[in-house]
Amino acid sequence: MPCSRTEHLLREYFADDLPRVMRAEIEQHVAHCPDCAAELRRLLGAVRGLGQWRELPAPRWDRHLALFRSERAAMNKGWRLLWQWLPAAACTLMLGLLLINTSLLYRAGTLEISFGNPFDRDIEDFTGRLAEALGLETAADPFDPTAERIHSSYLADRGLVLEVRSNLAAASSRLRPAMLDSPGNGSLHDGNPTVILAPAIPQQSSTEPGLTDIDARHPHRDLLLRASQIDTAELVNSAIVQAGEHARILRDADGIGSEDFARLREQIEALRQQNLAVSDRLGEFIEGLRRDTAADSESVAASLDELAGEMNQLRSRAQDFAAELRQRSESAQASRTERWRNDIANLEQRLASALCSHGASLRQLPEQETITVILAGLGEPTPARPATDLIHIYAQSDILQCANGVIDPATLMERSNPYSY
Amino acid sequence: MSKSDEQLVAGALAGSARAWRQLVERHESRIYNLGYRLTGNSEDAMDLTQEVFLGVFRSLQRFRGEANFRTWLFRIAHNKAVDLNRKKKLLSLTGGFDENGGYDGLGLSARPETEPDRNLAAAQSNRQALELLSRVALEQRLVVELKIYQSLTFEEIAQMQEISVNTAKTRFYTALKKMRFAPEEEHALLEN
Repeated sequence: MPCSRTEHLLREYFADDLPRVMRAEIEQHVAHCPDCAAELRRLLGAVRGLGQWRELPAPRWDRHLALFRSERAAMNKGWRLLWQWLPAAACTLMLGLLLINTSLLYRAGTLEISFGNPFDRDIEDFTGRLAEALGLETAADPFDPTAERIHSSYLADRGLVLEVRSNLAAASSRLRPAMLDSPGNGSLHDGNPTVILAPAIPQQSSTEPGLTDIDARHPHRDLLLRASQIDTAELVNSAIVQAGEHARILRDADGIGSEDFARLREQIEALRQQNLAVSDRLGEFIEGLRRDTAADSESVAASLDELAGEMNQLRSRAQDFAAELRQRSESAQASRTERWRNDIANLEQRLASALCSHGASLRQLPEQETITVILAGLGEPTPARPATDLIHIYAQSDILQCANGVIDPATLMERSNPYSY
Repeated sequence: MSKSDEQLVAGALAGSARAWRQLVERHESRIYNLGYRLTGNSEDAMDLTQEVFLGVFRSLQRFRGEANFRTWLFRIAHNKAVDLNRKKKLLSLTGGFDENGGYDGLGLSARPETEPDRNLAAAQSNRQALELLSRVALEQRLVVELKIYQSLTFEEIAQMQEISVNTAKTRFYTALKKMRFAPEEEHALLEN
């Protein structure tokens, strides 16, 4: 196995939750390294071999039913349980302490034999201090995927990769990508802005849509045509839907409390009811006109004007309401985004300071290696990928310089050239 | 609708033999297969199964439902396997070494072939997996078992074995390396 990276890369290949950036790097290496590719194939062959197992039925046995029945009463005697467990617990603990791992490291042409990863203890110690400095609540349930934590991986020749999961990532999911791209210039409705801005009366088409064949021969043909064109129910509906969406964004962005949100919902519901009522009246008007071929044109036209006035007024109110909520939601989103960005900047500063304060414990790492810190879910979102990671790559030498006071944390952070992936 | 594990535990704690039987029936096959893979023979697998459920019975009252029942069961199975291994090692000190040159109490010998052949097809299919598992020591076999067959995360395995996550990963990788296919095996696999 001539490739010196095989051991470390392939060990990490089987890790859970391997950060994307590391998986991509390993796969890229394997794609170009015949040694690693062959080794990986053999390892996967073993996994496939293990996968051949076919489940066997358990032989029949009494399932401790006799014991269960005879000792049922004894189950509540808790003190007995403690004593029965002690030997097993002690045995496991001793085994954990005694079991050792031997690992081999090829570096600079020399073979190093060590127990476990040579830097495991340093890395574990450093990771703990970093979590503390970043204020992560890592004491939470380790099996909870949403808990704050730092996941560390070490690759020889590459260095240490720390994936930091903080609660800030969960907050980002409540921010809309459009708002993050350009605060104050939300483009949530860019795909459909014309719905709100559409003219009250659509342009008359040459085919006169809205008229049936019977209408076309009707004595009040012009009035029927006009009646079909003043219907603004759909425009009002669109405004109502958008008002509802903006109200939700406003609430999610902490722009309003639940009581205000409930009031907005009531206002929206009132608009919906008014729209239904006026739309029904228009429908009845058209049906009545179709039946009454002898109706007085002037009075019909006056009624129609009145109805059109009401519909236009309702449309204006609904659209103004939606526009106002849009403005408020965008403003709340922008504030929230700004707070989120400030929180991230603050986290980055604390990260740089922590690296300066505690980075010295990593001095055993080879000089040319780097410490990559992945701030999960805190990168700049893109339209294609709403959740990206923010990645800082620190040179080991820069961290030591900062630890020795040669450079300050701000300079250390600048040199890490953060990017989103 | 079948009851959840937690409901059955509650039933057993309340004294229902039926709930206890259902709980054991639901998981005995999983534990027996785990035992078979760890020990390589039905007899030891059954011993382990009985020990595991005895452990479950004894500590049922302390299962509070915070953890998943399955994870809790695996923890008991893990501890029992380690315990059984230790006992067998002590016995084997007087009995000499096995054919692999070690005295791994749960050494996977050729005993599967002496098993009754009521599951002959499965036994044939399982022979390769057993042969691979026989190449590694119990600690590594346990990691492989929990990772490959029980789909636990390295974090869960590390907690169970009271080791660091990195050690769990190393243990798994070291085991896989010992089980990896030699080039000629690879060819055979491709030909099949």
